[in-house]
Amino acid sequence: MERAKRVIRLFMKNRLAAASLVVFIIVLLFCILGPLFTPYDYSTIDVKNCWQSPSLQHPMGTDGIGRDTMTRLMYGGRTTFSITFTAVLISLLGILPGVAAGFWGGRVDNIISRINDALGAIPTFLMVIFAENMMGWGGGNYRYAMGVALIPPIVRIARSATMEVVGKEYVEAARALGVGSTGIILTHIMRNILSPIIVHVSSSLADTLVMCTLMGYLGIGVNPPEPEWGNIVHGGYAVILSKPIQMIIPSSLIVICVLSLNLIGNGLRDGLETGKERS
Amino acid sequence: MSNELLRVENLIKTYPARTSKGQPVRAVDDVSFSIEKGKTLGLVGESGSGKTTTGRAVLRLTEPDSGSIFFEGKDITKGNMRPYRRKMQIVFQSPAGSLDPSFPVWKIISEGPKAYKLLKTKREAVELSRELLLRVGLNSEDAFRYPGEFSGGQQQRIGIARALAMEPEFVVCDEPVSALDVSYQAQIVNMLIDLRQERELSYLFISHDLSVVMHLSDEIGVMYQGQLMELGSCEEIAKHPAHPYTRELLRAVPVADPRKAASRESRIIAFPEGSVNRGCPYRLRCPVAGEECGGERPSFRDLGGGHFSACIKE
Amino acid sequence: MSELLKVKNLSVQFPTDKGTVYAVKDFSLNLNPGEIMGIVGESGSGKSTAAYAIMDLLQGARVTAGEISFQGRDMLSMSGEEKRSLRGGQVGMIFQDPMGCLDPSVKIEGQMVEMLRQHSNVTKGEARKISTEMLRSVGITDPEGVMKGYQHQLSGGMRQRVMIAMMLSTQPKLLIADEPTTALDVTIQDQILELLTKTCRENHMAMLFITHNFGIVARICNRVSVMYGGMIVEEGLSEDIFYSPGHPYTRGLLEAIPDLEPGAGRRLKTISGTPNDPFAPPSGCVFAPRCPDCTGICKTEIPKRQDMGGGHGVWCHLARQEGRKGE
Repeated sequence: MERAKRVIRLFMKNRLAAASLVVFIIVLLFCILGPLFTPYDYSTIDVKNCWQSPSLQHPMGTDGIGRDTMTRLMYGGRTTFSITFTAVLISLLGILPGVAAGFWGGRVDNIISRINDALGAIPTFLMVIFAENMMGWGGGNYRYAMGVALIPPIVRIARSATMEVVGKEYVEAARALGVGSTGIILTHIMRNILSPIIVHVSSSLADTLVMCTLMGYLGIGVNPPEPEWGNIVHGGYAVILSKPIQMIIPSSLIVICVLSLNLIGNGLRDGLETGKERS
Repeated sequence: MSNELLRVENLIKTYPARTSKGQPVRAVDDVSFSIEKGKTLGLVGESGSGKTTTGRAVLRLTEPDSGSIFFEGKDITKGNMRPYRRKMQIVFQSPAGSLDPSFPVWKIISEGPKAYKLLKTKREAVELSRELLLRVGLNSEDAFRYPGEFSGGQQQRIGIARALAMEPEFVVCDEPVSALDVSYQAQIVNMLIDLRQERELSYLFISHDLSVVMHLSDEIGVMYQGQLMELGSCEEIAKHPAHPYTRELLRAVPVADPRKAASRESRIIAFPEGSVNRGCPYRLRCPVAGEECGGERPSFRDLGGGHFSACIKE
Repeated sequence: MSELLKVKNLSVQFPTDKGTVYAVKDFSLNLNPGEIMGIVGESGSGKSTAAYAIMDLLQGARVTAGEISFQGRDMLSMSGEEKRSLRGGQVGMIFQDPMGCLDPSVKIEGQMVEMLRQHSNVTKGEARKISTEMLRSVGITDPEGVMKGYQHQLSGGMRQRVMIAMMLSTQPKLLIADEPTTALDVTIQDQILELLTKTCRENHMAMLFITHNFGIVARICNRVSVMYGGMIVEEGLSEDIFYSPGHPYTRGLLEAIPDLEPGAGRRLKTISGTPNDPFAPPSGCVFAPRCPDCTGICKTEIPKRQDMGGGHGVWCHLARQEGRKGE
């Protein structure tokens, strides 16, 4: 894939985006591999050591019932990322109806767009509460609701990108060459709507991460003792004046992730767009 | 005629009105013509004259509302076009727009044969593209480059190679040189002429540039607002244009010869906007139009020798 | 000094990430009042860039010139304010795409009146009257109706007419026209050309007409400069350029144009090769890589202007010898 190589090269030229990618990967590795090296468990209570300041034993201190904050952040990150990624993965289902609507237009477009508008009109919070009620509270089941809530924008993006590609002469050329509709969708359409979708996904990852931790913070997301970045921030809120570090560390992790995801998105957009120009 | 390759009869294509109050637009309005094997019909007209839609409708890239299309004597107006796609190809106006920017050249050229499962491996596809690239005057190494790396003229060559890959008998050339600079334009025109001889191709050559159309067509059809105004051999159209619109076109085309240009008179007339529903569509701009032109829509009159004109005045 | 516009040794460079591009090199011209001069060349020849540089309309470019003067006034030392008042007043400009020059949110009337009042001392009522007359003179049957509308309600041909009417309303001494008819149908093009030449004749207006179309040049221009690769390769009276072209590029282009005669499958003459890479221009003559007559000196030395007499100049090492051969 020459084109992928070129996009990667252009992306790497954007220093900020490349640095963000490195930072994001470090945070990811911290969460995925970290638990293998920590001597603590995320849920074992140790009341003698509550609200410890950072030390060699506990590099980020401990929380109100003596659990190691760093360990909880690692496990919490796993939860946060898994919720975020599942939600965004689910939203990718929207590509299919979007492409169909853009490709066939007319009545197909009408039906899909109406359903999509209706879906988009339901507030995300309402969907989250509904899903939690149906599937059980506190376990992160709201990820499915968030995924569904993310579908409408993807459908819209896929639809408009498809419509743009369908109007191109090379699609007409393919038709004149006897390539069928499925063939055209799988080759020309999918390849050429990829870049707006990738850009959208990278920014929607950041938004979803914020949403996910916000739910945890408000207590309608993942509930303690299961760690999740949002509820860890909430735990630290109790000692914001005496031990601000307990809130600053998890909050900064969230901010770092959101920032780096957005910067990666920008880098990808620049890379894909200049790549498009030259290719 | 036994030599007839393509025949189009009473082709009509209507597009829905843009505004709720407006009337549907007749992009192609009762157009009939035929092309013999190895010959070229040039379709010339201004923007909005329906020449491009005619070309698309012949290949059924847009479905005509009514009328019939015969290819090699068989009616292809309805039903599956797939058996005929191989024999009927198209070259587009915009060199960049007609090539998928995310495809390498070999993939673009081999797309058609691949759709017909004529190529089994990537190696065969690359081999075929290299061969065709050489034929259209590019390098065989260009097969692995991307369309964006080529100039407009080279891109148009790739577009021609893609059409040739299907080994067609008939090619619709839709303004193939209009977007190109003069020096490229001549190269592409020459290539089309050579290929026509070499492979016994027939063209439907669509252009707004009467000089190019005249240069490589055997017959010329002049279109105005969806209708054929005049149809005849190239010689006849050049020497004895019968329709006032054809004469206007011939007069207006600037020729690269100051003395000839100086000998022509020009007139500034106020151009009425819009179109007419009844009678001759050209009558609003026509210098010889009279009352009678607003009546029935003029039909083709046979002037002999395959020369037809849709003017009731002459 | 009788020249209206005088340009000497104009050069335009664009600094880019990949290096400096010399878009125009050593461009000179003299334009007399009432004269129509064509600058003809293919895309990338620098013809539009040169004209924009003269009017100081280029952004991000390094423009250097020995002299640019309009009516004897030195334009290089003019302030931005003075240049602005020149543009649209004494010097009109029309472009291929009038959409970009007309404000989509203001009615045609408002734009024409404002334009007039900016450059001449007239009341609103007078300005409106002049505008109506201008629109009528460019062949618009219903000027009042057009003036009450917006640009998007007009067809391409109408829009270009409005643009021309607007530019001519201030009675400029010079009109710079950059491919104004390229997007239009031939019949409309014909009318616009007729209109422009008529205005030049009647108002003693000079015109610099930039185009790729030799047919248009033949139809309207008194003098022509042919550009290739950022440089003028040949200049002279239309007659000289068309009937005794001295530069191989001019000859090649003229032979490559179909001549509105039944061609019967004749091949056209072509210029082989592709234009130069702007980042790596040839060190000698700009046309050497594509030239059929290229010799050793062409690859190493930039040719000087060879005078062929009567203002006919050719930038080709071989021009003079060929001229002699012909005699």
